[in-house]
Amino acid sequence: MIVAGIDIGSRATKAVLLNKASVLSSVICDTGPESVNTSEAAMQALLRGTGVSLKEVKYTVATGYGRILVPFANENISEIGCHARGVNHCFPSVRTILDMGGQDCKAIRCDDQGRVVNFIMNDKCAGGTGRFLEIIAELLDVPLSSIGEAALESRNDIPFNTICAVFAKSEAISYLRKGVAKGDILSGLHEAIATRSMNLLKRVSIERDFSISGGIAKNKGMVRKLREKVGLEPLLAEDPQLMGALGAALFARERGQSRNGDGLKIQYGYADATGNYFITVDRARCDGCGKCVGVCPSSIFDVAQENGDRPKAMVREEARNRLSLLCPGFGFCAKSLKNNCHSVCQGNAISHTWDVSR
Amino acid sequence: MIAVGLDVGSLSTKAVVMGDDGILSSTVVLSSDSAEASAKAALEQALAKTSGDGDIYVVSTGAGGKAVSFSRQNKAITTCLARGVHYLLPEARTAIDMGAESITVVRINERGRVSDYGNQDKCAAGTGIFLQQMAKLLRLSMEEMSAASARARARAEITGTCAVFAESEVISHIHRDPPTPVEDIVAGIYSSMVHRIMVQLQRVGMKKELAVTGGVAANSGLVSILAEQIGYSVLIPPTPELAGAIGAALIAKENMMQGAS
Repeated sequence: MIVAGIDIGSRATKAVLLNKASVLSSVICDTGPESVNTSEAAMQALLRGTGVSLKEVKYTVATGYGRILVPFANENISEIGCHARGVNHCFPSVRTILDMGGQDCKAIRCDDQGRVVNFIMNDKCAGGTGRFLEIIAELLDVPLSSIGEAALESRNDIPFNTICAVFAKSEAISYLRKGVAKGDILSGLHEAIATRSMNLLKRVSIERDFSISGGIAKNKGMVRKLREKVGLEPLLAEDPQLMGALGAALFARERGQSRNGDGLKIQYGYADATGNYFITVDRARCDGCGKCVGVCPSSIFDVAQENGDRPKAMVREEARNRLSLLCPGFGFCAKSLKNNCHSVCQGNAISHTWDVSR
Repeated sequence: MIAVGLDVGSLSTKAVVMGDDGILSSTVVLSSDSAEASAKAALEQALAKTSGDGDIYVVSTGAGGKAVSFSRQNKAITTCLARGVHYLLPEARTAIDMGAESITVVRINERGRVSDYGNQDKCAAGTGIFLQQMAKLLRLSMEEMSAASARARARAEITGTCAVFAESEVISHIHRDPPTPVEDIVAGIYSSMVHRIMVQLQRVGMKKELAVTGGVAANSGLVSILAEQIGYSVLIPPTPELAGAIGAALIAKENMMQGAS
């Protein structure tokens, strides 16, 4: 079975093609103004030279900033989960991940299965993102790909008082006028970003092993600064920028396989200003035992026959529009109830997803 | 002796010369990389406009105030703002200073002293630089922006938590099909700045009357959206950008008199 993962980031689009055993191909291209066109072009580039046609791709998971606009995707999953999954595949020992992207930065804690335990995200401020580095690279007239190495050559960090991209730019201009070496300015900025990333990491608590993903993980100067700050040697994948797409492809493989039986997954949920909340019932895995009906504190489940099929679990019709009021969130049940809808389900047919809006 | 207040801001440096009967002269010059040089230029220009001579007593303030070697005393900008606003508008109990790189809110008591303050200078969002950057992007002058916002039918949604991201938001409004009217974009930009100011105001707490100072206060469109958010009208002194320098000059004068007695 061949599956694909596509990660539409704010600056770059990444895609990975997987078969049962290994990565067949991967691609990284710029994100254009329209996600639909970008995703189609990326998919074409991904398949080129592999002898695989789009039809043969059995399942595609989209992730990243533009994930909802991928026309050929079967499902979309938040990039936080995908990064954790991708890194876990490369380094199962990793528990803490710093994902440094084009317009945001996330600290993620995951378990031994690559499931997200905790995360914190900065997407409100350009400080410490790829965008910040782009602005500075342009100002100093140093190619983005070599700013890290230029920073490494510095012997004398220039301390920056600010992480604001706009203020840092004007500070950098005044240092340039004073004749300070570009490498020293870059080194100081890398230091400021590393400090800020460290603050994000501290908030999720750092546990061994540590990995960095996203495009900035290719910047050697940044990796060194982070190694010094965190005090751990970061495990870096061959291409850390592909971790989100790889994770998406791994999810695609899993989802594609579980689509046997009647192959239906039904999502019940709601979206509000804070994000999307979904309860998913995988009808292929549900044996209709009805244990979930009894344990749910809000009695949202029912077992019923639909479409002449065997009886399966579902969310009661009256509850569907009131899920935001009825379901206290799985995190609450997992902590306070000994038996909950996940623990009693033999086939692991019920899952809850919380997708934070951006 | 002549009392001089120097407010060395990140974008402009202001000098005010104070005599026995009030302000004798004032100047605003663009700040250069050297605070000392900017301060000197502003001081010389302001003194050239007055006939008085003799010793001068300088009190400096602002982002670069500490670096001025010839000042007798450096005072916090909040202290100077409180004094300056109290002098210009004695009924004001809260001052909102909208500077080039900061938003400062000062609560002022009946005697022109600071009773509380809040300051945001870590992030460009909502500051004068932010507004300047937006004006450049829209190819409008500050006056044209104010005029445009008065014609706005709606306010474009601009989160404005980051000056860099806000720029992308504005660009996507311009390229939308159909494009968002430029008036609405301007109103949206102002409204996002007002949001940032309200955060500071709510932190410090506001007390009537409210005065708005700083160079950004000259944008009438922004001020009217701010007044709408606050729920009542705000006071703007005739020279809003000079409030800090006037406060510094008042302190200089007071110090001189204490020294003389």
